[in-house]
Amino acid sequence: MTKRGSRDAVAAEQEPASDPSTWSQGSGSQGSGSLGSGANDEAGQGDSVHDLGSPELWLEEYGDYLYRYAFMRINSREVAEDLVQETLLAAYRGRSNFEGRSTLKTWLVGIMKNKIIDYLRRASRKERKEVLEDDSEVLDRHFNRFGIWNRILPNWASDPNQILERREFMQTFEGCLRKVPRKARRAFMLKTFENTSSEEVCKILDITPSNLWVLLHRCRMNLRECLEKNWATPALGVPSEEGEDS
Amino acid sequence: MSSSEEPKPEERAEIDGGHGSTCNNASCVPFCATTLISCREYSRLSSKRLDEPLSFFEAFCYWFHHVICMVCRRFDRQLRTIHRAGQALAEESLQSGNNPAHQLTPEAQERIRKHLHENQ
Repeated sequence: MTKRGSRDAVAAEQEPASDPSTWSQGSGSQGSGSLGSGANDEAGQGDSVHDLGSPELWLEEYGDYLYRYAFMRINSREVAEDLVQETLLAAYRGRSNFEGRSTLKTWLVGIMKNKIIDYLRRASRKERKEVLEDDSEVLDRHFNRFGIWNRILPNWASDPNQILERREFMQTFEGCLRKVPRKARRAFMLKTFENTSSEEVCKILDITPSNLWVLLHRCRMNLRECLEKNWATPALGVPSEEGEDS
Repeated sequence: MSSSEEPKPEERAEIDGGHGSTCNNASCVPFCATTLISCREYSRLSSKRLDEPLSFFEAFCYWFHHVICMVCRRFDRQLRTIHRAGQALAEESLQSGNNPAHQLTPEAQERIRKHLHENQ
């Protein structure tokens, strides 16, 4: 594992944001019913701490799942691997806090979610402050000097459900999301994926509310433009492994 | 999206009742000036509305413009589709997938396993 990963794993033990009391909560959309598929999930239902197994076993069972969860949110293979490692280590060290109210998988995802937020908080503070008061460079491409659309937007489809059911649309959407500037993508992910409150997103990303609206607007404008260009062709079907966060 | 699906000028006029509210060029500036906000400002409110309730004045401007501008209505629909696609992708990330790009490499698994063993 990378040096950063090891360092972060040690730091994670001391971070209040990884409060064990929040670990069993998980995200609202990760209901244990739909996720508990493995035999080890059942171990979480009231079994003792000793029955949970070793972290190596958790890696075997849930490593790919946790990695996928992190990668789709962070868009960096290296960081996602570090987060899987940190999550499993923190879970093992805090295993006495597992009360069996949720499945082991849901509990691990809850820890991963906190690790992701910790990572975003640290990364946002390290990065230089962007000037986000104006997103004119993005909007100028679409509007004339009177603030009117430069052209008629093509119609996608009358029924959004039809669009979302198309596999190629979702693949293109995922590819487009990877191309969105990092900070805007993080804001979109926290708001849309995690349904985090605006106040909390501002705290995590260390930005003001007006910055947040600019970032989200910019992200959606970029996504719309990218989808319009690429949806009809499968060029973005295979996501890049090299993320912008790396 | 093919350009063949774009409405022709005469179709636009029909959709909009012939009053030119599609706001597709500078010629409709006087009309747009009466809609309180520009299409550009509408796009900002359309995005904000997905995350937070608009203020009374913002909501008034938004809906007034929404009613009269066909292009902005189309934009608004597309933005809502993008919002729902984001939610669908979040759901998808909670499912087990077979995409190799979404799986740990054997090398990474081994590195993590070693680290876990050493730090237990």
